[in-house]
Amino acid sequence: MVNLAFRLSDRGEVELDLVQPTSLEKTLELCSEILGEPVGEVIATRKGKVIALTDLVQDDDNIVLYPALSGG
Amino acid sequence: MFNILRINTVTGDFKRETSSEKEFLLGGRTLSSYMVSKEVAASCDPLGRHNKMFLCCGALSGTMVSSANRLSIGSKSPLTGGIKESNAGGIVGHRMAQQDLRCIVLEDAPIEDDAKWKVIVISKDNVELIDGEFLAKKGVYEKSELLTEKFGPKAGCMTIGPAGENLMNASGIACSDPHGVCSRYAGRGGLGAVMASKKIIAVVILNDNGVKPEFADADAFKVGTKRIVHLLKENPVSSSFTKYGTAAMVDICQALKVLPTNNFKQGTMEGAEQINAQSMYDLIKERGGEGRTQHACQLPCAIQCSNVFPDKDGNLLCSPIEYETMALMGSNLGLKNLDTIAELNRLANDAGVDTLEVGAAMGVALEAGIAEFGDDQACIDLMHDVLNVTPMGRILGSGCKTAAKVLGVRHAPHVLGQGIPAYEPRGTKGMAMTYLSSPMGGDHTFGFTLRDEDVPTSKEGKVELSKKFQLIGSRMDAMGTCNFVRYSVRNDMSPLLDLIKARYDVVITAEEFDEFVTDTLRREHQFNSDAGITLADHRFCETFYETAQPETGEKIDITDEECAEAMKW
Repeated sequence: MVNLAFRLSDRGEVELDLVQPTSLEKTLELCSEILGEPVGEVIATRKGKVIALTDLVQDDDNIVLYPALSGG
Repeated sequence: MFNILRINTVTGDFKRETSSEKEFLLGGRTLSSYMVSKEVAASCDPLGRHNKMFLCCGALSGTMVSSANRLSIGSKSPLTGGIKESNAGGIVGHRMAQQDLRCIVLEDAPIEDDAKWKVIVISKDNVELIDGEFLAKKGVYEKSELLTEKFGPKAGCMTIGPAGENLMNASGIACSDPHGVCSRYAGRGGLGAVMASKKIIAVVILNDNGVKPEFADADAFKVGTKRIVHLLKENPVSSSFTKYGTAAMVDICQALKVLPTNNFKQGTMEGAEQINAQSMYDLIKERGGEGRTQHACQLPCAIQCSNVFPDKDGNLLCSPIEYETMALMGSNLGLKNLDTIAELNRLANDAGVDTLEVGAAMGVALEAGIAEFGDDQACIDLMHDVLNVTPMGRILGSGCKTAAKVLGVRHAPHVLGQGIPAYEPRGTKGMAMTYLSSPMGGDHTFGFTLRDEDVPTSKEGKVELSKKFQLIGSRMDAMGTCNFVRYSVRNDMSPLLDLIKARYDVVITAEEFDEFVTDTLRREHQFNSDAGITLADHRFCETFYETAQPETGEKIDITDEECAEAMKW
């Protein structure tokens, strides 16, 4: 089970079953299907490090997602 | 044709000129940097009579297009010694458009030491320089009230604080917000001191002329206006700003280990959640009263990322509190109390200083041992020093670089003399590249890369990434539009370019538009070069290259050659 925790958002947490390591991009697509809306642009971290859309996500991963904002 | 109003700040003479150049069509930073590069000698004293100040509204100012009424102020900066564009929300840009003005030029400066303060009053038929002594030595909030009393709450006013009056390099220019309070700052680069050097203590644009914009195709303009609102509303990034504003960056930067902490010595602060967006949101909701979790800094605006922070009794304490202030006047000073940050912000607004610059200077002062990091009252006392123009206040109000020199601190977080904003550069090499290569000095809006960095700690690919966002960020400045609109048009500028077509019947292709943007960048770098700024000035202080950031183990490893590449347009 992969846990996707949305911060600064009302979405809370989403859990996904991944049968094999899957790119973050694909994982977010699967997450969108569960949410019923696009995830949108996010900054994703795992164990305190940023991960890219091409990085693989696998079972037991805890991914924290922040909206991709900027300062002004 | 676009109207320019030139005002001699010594004689009071004024003249209106017209121009049909495309730089005037776009307005904003395109115009302000164009005018500075054309009319200001790069070698001049920024506080002397040969410097000029240009106030420019944007291509869509005065219309109902969301977030398009920013005011760009251009000049030579006393802080960096180079070109400066600093922009602000509020209503001044809108009032300029209603007076059918694209650019106001403030020229000349009195030579006599005892010259009196003046207020420039711009009305439908006249420009007057009136006695401004009634505003002298007062804080910005009191000045704002006096200006409202005299000229009405709908006048578009710009004023300076005691810091500007005393030519401090960290002084900014406060512009009227939609409620008539001068709280929207063109804060960066010491432009308050430039205005003060001309002995102008306020500029007032009266609300006596309702020049309505004419449209080449009114129907198309209406459709285009609605399209922008739709794009902003449907974009999840823009809509995230509506709830939390830029304060959301506290959590993001803490997670990415780039939250400036204790004079940029660390990138995380224990207890950062006490000053994060959720804490601020909950506190504002709990206190109620005049507090607002969302608020528009200009009208109209569909994003409304601003806020109104109330005191314990629900009365307005400060509006807005932005992420950069929460970091530079919060974590950077080891402070974990939102009320303290709000108080510091209010005092800075009253003194008329840039919260980033003085926050960075205060960080340096704490490192020098003037007080302890995390000492709320000591930090408030230091801000009172700035407001009261004490010797320590003058040091802090001179900016981070000067404060570090005077106080004997090597770790001075600035580039080109301008304090770096709220992203620890060793942990984000994209932002570091942007800070280093900006002609404005350390500046985050110049090319915001953080949200798009796959490996923030690596410099790999960051020249290209920074340049990509220098272009995207500069597009918004180029026409006086809020930077946050960029999320909705970053891959397709046509919604904004179509509006220009519908408004003026002028077709600007995306390629032509980007040529204007890159021309602006080239002009800005050329001005700095002519002013004597070299690549060696585009560096952090050596400690950022020598000492690793504790959380990431990273140092600055960007070379002069890489920086030069990021400056090449």
